[in-house]
Amino acid sequence: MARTGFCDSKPLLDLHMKERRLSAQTTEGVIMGFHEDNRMGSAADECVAAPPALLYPHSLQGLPSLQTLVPSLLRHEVETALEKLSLIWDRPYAWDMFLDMMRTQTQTPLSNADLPHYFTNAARAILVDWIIQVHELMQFQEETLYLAIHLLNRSLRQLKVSTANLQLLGMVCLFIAAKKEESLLPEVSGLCSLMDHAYAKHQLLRMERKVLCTLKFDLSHCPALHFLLIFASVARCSAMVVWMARYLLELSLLEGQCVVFLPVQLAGAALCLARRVLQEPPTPEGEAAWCLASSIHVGSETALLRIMQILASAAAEAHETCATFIKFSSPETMHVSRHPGLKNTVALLGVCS
Amino acid sequence: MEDCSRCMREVSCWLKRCCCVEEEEDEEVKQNRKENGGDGEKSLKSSRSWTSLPPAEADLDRSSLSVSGSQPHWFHTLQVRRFRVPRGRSNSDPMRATSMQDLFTWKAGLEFGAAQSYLSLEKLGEGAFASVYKGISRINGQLVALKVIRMKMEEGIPFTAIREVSLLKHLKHANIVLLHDIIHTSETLTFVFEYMQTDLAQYMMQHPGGLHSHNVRIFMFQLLRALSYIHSRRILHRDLKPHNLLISYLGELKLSDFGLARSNSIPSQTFSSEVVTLQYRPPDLLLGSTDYSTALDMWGAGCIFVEMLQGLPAFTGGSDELEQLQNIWMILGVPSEDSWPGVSLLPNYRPAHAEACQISVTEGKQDHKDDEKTIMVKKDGQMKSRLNVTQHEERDKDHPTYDGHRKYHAVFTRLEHKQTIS
Repeated sequence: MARTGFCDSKPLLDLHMKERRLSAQTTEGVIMGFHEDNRMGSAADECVAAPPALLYPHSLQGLPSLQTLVPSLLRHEVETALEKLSLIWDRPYAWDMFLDMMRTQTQTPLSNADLPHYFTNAARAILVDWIIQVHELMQFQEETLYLAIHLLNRSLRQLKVSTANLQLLGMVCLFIAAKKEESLLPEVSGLCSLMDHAYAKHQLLRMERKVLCTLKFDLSHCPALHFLLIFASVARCSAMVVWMARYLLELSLLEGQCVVFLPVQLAGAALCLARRVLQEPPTPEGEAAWCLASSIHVGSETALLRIMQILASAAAEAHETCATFIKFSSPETMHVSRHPGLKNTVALLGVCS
Repeated sequence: MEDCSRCMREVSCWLKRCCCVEEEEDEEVKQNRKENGGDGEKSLKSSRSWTSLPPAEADLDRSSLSVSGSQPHWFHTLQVRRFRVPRGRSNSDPMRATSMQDLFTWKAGLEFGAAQSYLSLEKLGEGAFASVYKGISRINGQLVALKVIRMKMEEGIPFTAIREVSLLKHLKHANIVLLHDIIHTSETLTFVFEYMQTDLAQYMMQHPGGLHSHNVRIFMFQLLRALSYIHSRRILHRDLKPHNLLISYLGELKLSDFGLARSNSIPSQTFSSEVVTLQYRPPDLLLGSTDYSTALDMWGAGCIFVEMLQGLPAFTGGSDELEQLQNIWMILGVPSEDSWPGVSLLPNYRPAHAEACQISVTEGKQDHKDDEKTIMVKKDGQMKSRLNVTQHEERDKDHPTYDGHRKYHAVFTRLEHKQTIS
């Protein structure tokens, strides 16, 4: 596997063992590492030609096989990305953490997008939109929102809730997510007043226990946002692309069809779509980095394209009444939701595919 | 013992009556009883193993079960039969291996998650949001620790309980306390943990004046292994102290109480600096930093290491942050921009405090001059406690238990180069 030309082939061999461990652990949908994809062929060539900063020092001696180069390069890049995202003290753990993220996301998959018969995707979108509004009002972290929607998706399938109590369920999911993620907790009475006192405090607390017991206290979730930030960092994306991708990713929360996809797939598709929408002039370094990022692959091309189509139509339909649209139209987010390119993305995808 | 053997004899009689189909085995049991006569203990052992093997050899064999080699044929048959005896999952309770286990049968109608499946025996302690009872599981007869959560009328289920259980559900490791079961009734919420006899705080109290260096090594190794495991799973414990390190009779150490623990999320601004018991809180947190990482737990591990060696806390608890900082600086010296770049930028850093400490440090140094252990702590500059662990490990790195522990070496060497904290 590793050529004798390497000054030290052991780290690369170790790396390969890790690679294999990962692909065995994740479901077959998540393909990690080298792809027999014609795009990847040119990608790898470009990687070799890319600036030396991208490369492991070993690779400069002798002729490295691309099979070993790409994974090690990827690992190095992922670790750097994690380090940049303020995990600087954990560098020795960076790769373990990434593997753990990949593993965690597959632990509680939803097999299908079917909702209970009394509940439609449109109703779900309204509920999620309301949760996003409350979340913004409370100034919670982004992770809290992703966890809350994840809990909502799971509890809707496992718990029998009457239509009248759906708002309560949504609020409870947000409350539990906040208890897991936030350091400052909202008051229960405050939450009740946000729901116009339609439910009493004891109802909310009873629902909380019901949800937790139904989910068996299993609240582990790896938010798609984390994957997005890592990919964006590996791919050296511009701030504009990152904000656009974050906007698209948040729109995916509103789409009932998106629940069957893994967070890593959603993040990959959002970033890919954001790049296509913005059509930034390509630079050699940027292209090489993007090819590397897209080798942390995220399932089949068809799944990616499917998500991109869903996101594109969601973005085209989003308008002033949608909380996410308003959130991402502010100057801090570079007005991404008002970008004219979003209106004809579906056509753009049609051309590309 | 007499009662037990009588019981066993009754059981074997009953067996004879019931399964007369299996003539051969019946014969064997009869033979056993003939051979061993009235000797209670012998007959008990041999009727359990169901062979004509003398009991002394049976014991020997138990220890060499895993050893494969050229064994006589009857050894193999013995192996197969041996597993009919239910074997405990953990070795943490030697008492569990008694014959009582054999008499225990699965009771229909008792299931996991039901309150009547557990019997609480005595109260073990009281926490901030829970009371802990010693209990026994009626399902399999194991001792358990029952943590009964107090529901708060204002907030519902305490967030500490939610975090602890949601994290522990995915942690399966020999050095992390095992969560067996969750019981929810209409009024209460109870978590069922494996039962451990004592904790490190109690253990050190019973053995004042510092632990034997061999034990320190064993405990420290297990603690670091547990930390390595949780850190690679993006979890910070954030409340490391001897009280939270449970110890079994066999010297197993298990990390417990994940009430303050949390998953390490990427932009980590939501952390609070008000974690970790004051005595084990690292100086950067005392100075108000919230940008912490795995080094936070390592400081606690270092403090515990020193405490195990000298029998006294590394930095005696102050009543507030400032006092605690002075205690630390008294021993380790006052940090400056040279020894710890960025210290003056921390939120609660006041140059006046440092100057005040400088004076007391020079006085303090004379006091501590002869204390060998303090000097050991002192000499390495900023990172001392952690570096002591490194040195300790370095010294013992040829020891087999330290194999496969390279990651911590990496952490330590890295910290050594950086010479700052968290």
